[in-house]
Amino acid sequence: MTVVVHAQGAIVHMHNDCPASSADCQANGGVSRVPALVAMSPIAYRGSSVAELNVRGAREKMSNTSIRLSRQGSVRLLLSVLGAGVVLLAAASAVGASTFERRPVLFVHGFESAGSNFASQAMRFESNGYPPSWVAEIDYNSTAAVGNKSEVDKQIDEAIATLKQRTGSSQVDVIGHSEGTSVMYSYLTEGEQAAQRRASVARYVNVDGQEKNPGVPTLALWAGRCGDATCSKPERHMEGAENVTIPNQTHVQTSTSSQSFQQIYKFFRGGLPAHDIVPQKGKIMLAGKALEFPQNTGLIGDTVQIWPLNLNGARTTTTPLASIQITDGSTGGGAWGPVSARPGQRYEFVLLQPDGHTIHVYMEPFVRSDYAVRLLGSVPIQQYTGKSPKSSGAVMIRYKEYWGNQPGENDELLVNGLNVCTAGLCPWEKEVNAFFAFNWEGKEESTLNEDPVLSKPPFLQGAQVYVAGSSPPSATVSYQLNSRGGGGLRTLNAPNWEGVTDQTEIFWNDFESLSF
Amino acid sequence: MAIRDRKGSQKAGRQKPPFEVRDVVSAGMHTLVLEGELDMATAAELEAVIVECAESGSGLTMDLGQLTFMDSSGVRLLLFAQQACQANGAEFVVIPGPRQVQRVFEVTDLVKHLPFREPTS
Repeated sequence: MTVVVHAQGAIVHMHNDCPASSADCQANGGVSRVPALVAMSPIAYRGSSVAELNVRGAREKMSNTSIRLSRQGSVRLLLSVLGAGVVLLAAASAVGASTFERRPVLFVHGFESAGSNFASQAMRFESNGYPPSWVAEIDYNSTAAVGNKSEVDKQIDEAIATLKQRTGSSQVDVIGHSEGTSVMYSYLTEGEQAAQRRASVARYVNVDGQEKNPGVPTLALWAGRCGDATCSKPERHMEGAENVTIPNQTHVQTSTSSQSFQQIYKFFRGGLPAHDIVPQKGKIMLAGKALEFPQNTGLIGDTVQIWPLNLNGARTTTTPLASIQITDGSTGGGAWGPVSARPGQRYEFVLLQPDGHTIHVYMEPFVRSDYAVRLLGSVPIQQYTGKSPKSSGAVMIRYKEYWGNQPGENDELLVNGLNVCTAGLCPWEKEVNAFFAFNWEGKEESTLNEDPVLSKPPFLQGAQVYVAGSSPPSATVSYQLNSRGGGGLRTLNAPNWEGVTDQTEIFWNDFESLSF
Repeated sequence: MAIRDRKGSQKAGRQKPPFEVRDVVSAGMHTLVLEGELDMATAAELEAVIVECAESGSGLTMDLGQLTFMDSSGVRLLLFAQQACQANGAEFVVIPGPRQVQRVFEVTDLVKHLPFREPTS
């Protein structure tokens, strides 16, 4: 037996090259560590000031330059792979990819996520002329897929076949995020079906994930900020692809931002999109899935109810707008809807579970039809937010990380007026997308002490927040977000459900408020 | 740099380093014994060691039994190790950590999907 000592305590702090205490480093959002591939300049985009990215310092009027880069890159990759004695038939997909025609779009989410991660981008595609039936998201077991991708490969096969059949298109465009990029790399390069699968994918966007080129025309989007759970080095690059870094954005934000959408749309269509999310008036449609999270299996046996609410979060009708029994318990199942609804109206989505537990989901008023709504049941949510009797607990989710340690760029997340997104609980490096505010200490005081378990997994945070709960509810709880992106203070009020039997989920939009 | 076995690192009263990893090689199989606090800084350092072990192709065991702390970057490291071993055709095994570490895997459902195995001795 050989014993080798590789490292000792001295290695601690060696690689933390942008510590929270470094004001200069933080002021640059860590972007100073990234090669200067991009610069920002303001342009008018749907009436609001956003940023256009200048690749390698040269403003692109159209994306032809970048697309040429991508195609040349694919040739280089092909040559290098052939040199290694392996045949990659990238040419088949390159034919279709030479055009900027509209093709159906499929999104493959990342670790511990779901199709709702793509809801705002789907709305952007639909705001720019894509029919809803041309945009799809899979929901797969991302935890299982770390070790075994056979099930998710089958889901992708089925999703692409469905999109082709539905639209008459011979190819699709795919966007993978985080673990979804590893899933897509494996899907496109491994096994006997790899060449056939590549032929079905005209263009592919690899968002803040793995770095290997999958052999189809690829745009690699990178988050400018390199967080603890998702990024091992700030300089990431995919050989043979078009590489663009989105400055000052974190991992999940990069998958949902309008800045990323512009890059994705330009890569798919050859020009910038005309619109951001366009609000709709009159009737809208809502549809989605009820899923056990993070396995993403359909919540068979649950009943989904949708209730219209007033500003205080109280139901305004005696019967729900819709009541739907979930009958598909497969992975990616749990479908419900579409349900006709009104923009601007507040709704409560209820998951009535067979075991008597109820999850109450509150979302911001919808601005347009949303076919990617996900209602998430979860054992951890039940166990944690429902930990202490006579208390009300909630998880507040946003597909854009909460920042609490960036003065001037902080998110304020308030529960009954108390800001829980502090510098200690929501440092940007922690990449918090789901904040659990609940009574884990079992006392009638909001100490904001960090929950010892929920503070550790990727994307989560948990803190001691005491809100008196009651069954039936006896008071209103105010949940508020003052986003670093602007849009003013947003409020979702909800009854003080008693957490042991009734849990509260708050979903904040990952885009800022739009006016009607 | 001393070479110590697992018991040696447990001596009472000694000023323990925040983190230590030992690579125990037996019949070509690497066992990385992690001790102390596994966070972002230490996880980044460990990646190169994991790649080296995975590329040897003979197998890698990550022993979490002596960790006192693990955050989200530790989860990332375990997933990275699993993928590195898969890519190299190397067997991958995880020896469970103490309760506070295992609860992180329970919350994320990874307890079912990482190849946990109790230590053989």
